[in-house]
Amino acid sequence: MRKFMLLLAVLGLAGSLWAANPDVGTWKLNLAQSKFSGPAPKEETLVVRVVSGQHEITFTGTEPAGKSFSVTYTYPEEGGTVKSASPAPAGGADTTAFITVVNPSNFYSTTLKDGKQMSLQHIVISEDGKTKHRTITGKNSQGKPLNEVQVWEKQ
Amino acid sequence: MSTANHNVGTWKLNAARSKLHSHQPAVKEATLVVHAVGDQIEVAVTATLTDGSPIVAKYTYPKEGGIGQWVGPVPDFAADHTTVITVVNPGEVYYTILKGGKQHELRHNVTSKDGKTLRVTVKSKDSHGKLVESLAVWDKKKSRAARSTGA
Repeated sequence: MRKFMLLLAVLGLAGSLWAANPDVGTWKLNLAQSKFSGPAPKEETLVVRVVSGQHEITFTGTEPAGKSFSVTYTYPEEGGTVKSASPAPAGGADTTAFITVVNPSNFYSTTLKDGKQMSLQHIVISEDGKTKHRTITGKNSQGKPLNEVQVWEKQ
Repeated sequence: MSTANHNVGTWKLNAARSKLHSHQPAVKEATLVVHAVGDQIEVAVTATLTDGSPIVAKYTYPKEGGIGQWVGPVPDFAADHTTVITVVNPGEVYYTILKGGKQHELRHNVTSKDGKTLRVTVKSKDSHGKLVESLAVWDKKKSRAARSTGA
C-alpha cells in the first residue's frame, strides 16, 4: 500500500484522486422533478470542469420559447468571486455573484445587486454523487420572487 | 425580511463552551452588540485579550445580506479582505471572507431556536496553510426589560 501511495505521489495523481470533486461532470436537468417560479426550460444541460484551479460551469439548453442558450462562468475551486465568461452575469449586468463553499458537496451562490443580497442558490450533491438539488430563493433581476427547486442528474 | 432575529441584542462569549484554535488571539472576555439600524445590521465587538490588550471593531451589513463594511478604522488583519454575508434565514448566516477574490475563511453563525445561544463555527487556514476549525459559543444577555419581568 505504501509503495502504491508513493507511486501516486510521484506521478502527481494523489491530489486529483483524493480531492475528486463530486460536482465535476455532465448534469441533465430533470424537468419532471423540478419546480420553477416561471415557465420551465425545454431542456438544460450543465457541464462542470476544473481548469487551472477554477471551476468552469457551462449551462446549455433551450428556453421555453424555443431559443437555445449557452452561459459559461468560472469561480475559484475553494469558493470566491464568480466571473462570467459569456454573455452577462445570470442575475443581470449590474450584479455580482460569490460562491461560498461549505464543502465540495454543499455550496451557496449569492447574487448581489448594489452590494445587497438579491438571490441565493443552495446546491447540495447527494452522497452517491448522482443527484444535485439547486434551491433558488430571493428575487430575480426584475424584482419577482424566486422559489425554485431544480433536480439535476449526473450523466 | 423580518428583523426579529439577526442576533439583535448583546452577547457574551462563553469561553468554557468555546473551542478556539491556538492560532487565534487568546481572548479573556468578549462582547458582541448587534443593532438593526435602518436597513443595516450593525455589529460592535469589544474584547480583552489575556495579555490585557483591548480589541474594538464595528461593521455593518445589509439586513438581507450583502457586502460587509467596517465602521471606522479597518483592523490590520482585514485590510485586504472582502466579506460577503449570506443570509440563509435570519437565524443562519454565512460570512465568506475573500482574499484576492478567493474564499479565505468561512464563518457559519447559527442562533439556537430559543434565541439564547449563538454558535459561530470558523473554518480557516493557519500560518502553515492547514485547515483549522474553531467554535465560539455566545450567550445572550437578558435585556433590562426582560430581567424586570422575569422573562
